[in-house]
Amino acid sequence: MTRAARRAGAAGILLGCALAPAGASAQRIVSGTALVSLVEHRVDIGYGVEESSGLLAGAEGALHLGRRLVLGMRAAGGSLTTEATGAQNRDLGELGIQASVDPAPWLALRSAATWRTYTTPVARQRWTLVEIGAEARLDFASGPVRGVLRGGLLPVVSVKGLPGPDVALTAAAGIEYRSRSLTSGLFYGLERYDFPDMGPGGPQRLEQVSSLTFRFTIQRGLRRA
Amino acid sequence: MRRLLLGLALVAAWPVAARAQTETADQLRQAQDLYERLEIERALPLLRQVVSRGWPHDVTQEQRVEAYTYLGAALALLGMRDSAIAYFRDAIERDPFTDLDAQRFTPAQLALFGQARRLTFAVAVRPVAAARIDPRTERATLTVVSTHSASVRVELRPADRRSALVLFDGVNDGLRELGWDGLLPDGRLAPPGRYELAVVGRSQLLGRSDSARVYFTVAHETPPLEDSLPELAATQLLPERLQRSTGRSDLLKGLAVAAGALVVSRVAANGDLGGRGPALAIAVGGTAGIAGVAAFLSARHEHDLSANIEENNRRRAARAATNASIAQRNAERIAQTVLVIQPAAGVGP
Repeated sequence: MTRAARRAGAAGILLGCALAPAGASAQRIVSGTALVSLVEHRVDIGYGVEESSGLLAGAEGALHLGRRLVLGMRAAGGSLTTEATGAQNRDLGELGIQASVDPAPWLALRSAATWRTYTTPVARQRWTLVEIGAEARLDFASGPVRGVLRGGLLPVVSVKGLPGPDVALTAAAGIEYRSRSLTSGLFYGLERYDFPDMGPGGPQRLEQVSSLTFRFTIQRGLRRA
Repeated sequence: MRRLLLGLALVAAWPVAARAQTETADQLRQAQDLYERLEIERALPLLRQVVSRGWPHDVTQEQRVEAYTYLGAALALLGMRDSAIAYFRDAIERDPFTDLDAQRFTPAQLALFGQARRLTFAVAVRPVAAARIDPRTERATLTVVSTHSASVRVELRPADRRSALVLFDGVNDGLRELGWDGLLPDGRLAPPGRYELAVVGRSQLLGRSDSARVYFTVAHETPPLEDSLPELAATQLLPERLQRSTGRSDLLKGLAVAAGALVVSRVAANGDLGGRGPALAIAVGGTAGIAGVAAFLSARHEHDLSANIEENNRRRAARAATNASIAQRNAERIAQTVLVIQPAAGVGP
């Protein structure tokens, strides 16, 4: 599949999710989330693993249209420091939009687009990511606890100066606790990118982002017009 | 084959029947022309032919009434008062709504016609015309007649019920139009169905009684209604009592999340890159596992889950509030119901 075809397919899925019909008697709920992530970024371009890590702070806003459709935006940023020889600290910033549809109470189909930038004193690298995936929700019957398992593919990964990766996936597992309109959560997340060899006999670029994220979400219902 | 022959017979008979009525209409038109030219002596035989038993063509009720009316009018012009009254009575008996236009007939003819009405007693109801009535602003018009002064009672009732709405009860002479707002005696909108409009009269001159009735149907035209929300299904409610099986289920869920975190860090991650991913996964997996174990231990003794009960009550209240607003909107739509009235088969008496 060509990169253009993958982009078109992902854009179609994203649009389909966004335009999926909400219930006629839609109750609108807005939610806001504050998040803090401990991020570890590891990359190997053939000369050993370069590690950088740091804290990211971010925020999300979501609009729940009916019981099934959720549209959201997110923004996050922070600095990653490294002790690797010759490597430089970098700032990470990202913006994203996402949509999810719940075909069942325990299942959500997700799609998201993210624009991410790594900035060092001498260079800037922009990433464009499109994700499609699913999320399983395991509600505890005994209390307001929910387990979450999430997995997805990244059919579109566009990085300036790099070919598209052969492997691009994302996965996460976490647990949430809800108290009235406030939800707190702890998640482990992973993004993996295996880029192809840089020419015959050339090195392969492997990149991975791991994160431990604390999320605090508050929900409010909106009065219908 | 029989159907084909029957079809051919009907096709062949149709022009004959139509032609027969046309013959009668032509004869009546010719007689009226002669009457208008005051050639009464030539008009009378034509009119008598139409009402005679020997007339070979079909004659409708309207044509027969018209012929009797013109016969009475023609004989009145000739001064044959008794014969004129007799023909007028024939016309009135067949159609009590028969009347003479004061602009077209002489005072003498009108006087004889009035005398005929006083000698003949009949009541009638005009077939209800098709109409679309908004009960809040409009009225259906129902028309009855008595040939002369009489005690008249007009009732409207559903065909299958005994309760009747009395539209008029009093002395009437001639034509009377009655308005109906679409409501029954109990104040409710007339439900869809078949209705009977009946008139009963007793002559104040002759001491005789007569009755007549017609039928019509009523249908409702209501804007589409909203469906109310169904009862909350079991899957939409949280368990209100903690049971041992619940604890086991929650333990498995917690362990599933823990396993998922470890699988992500071990299998999905690139092993060549190493890193602290497994430690992060253990932090999340451990939390999930602890939550599962805590749920399992909590469920060793069955007890009510007050938080779930409160949440279920909130969901039930939300559903009830939504249904109440739907019921309110539906009531407003039902109030906009329009009655559709159509004449129905069957006449009386």
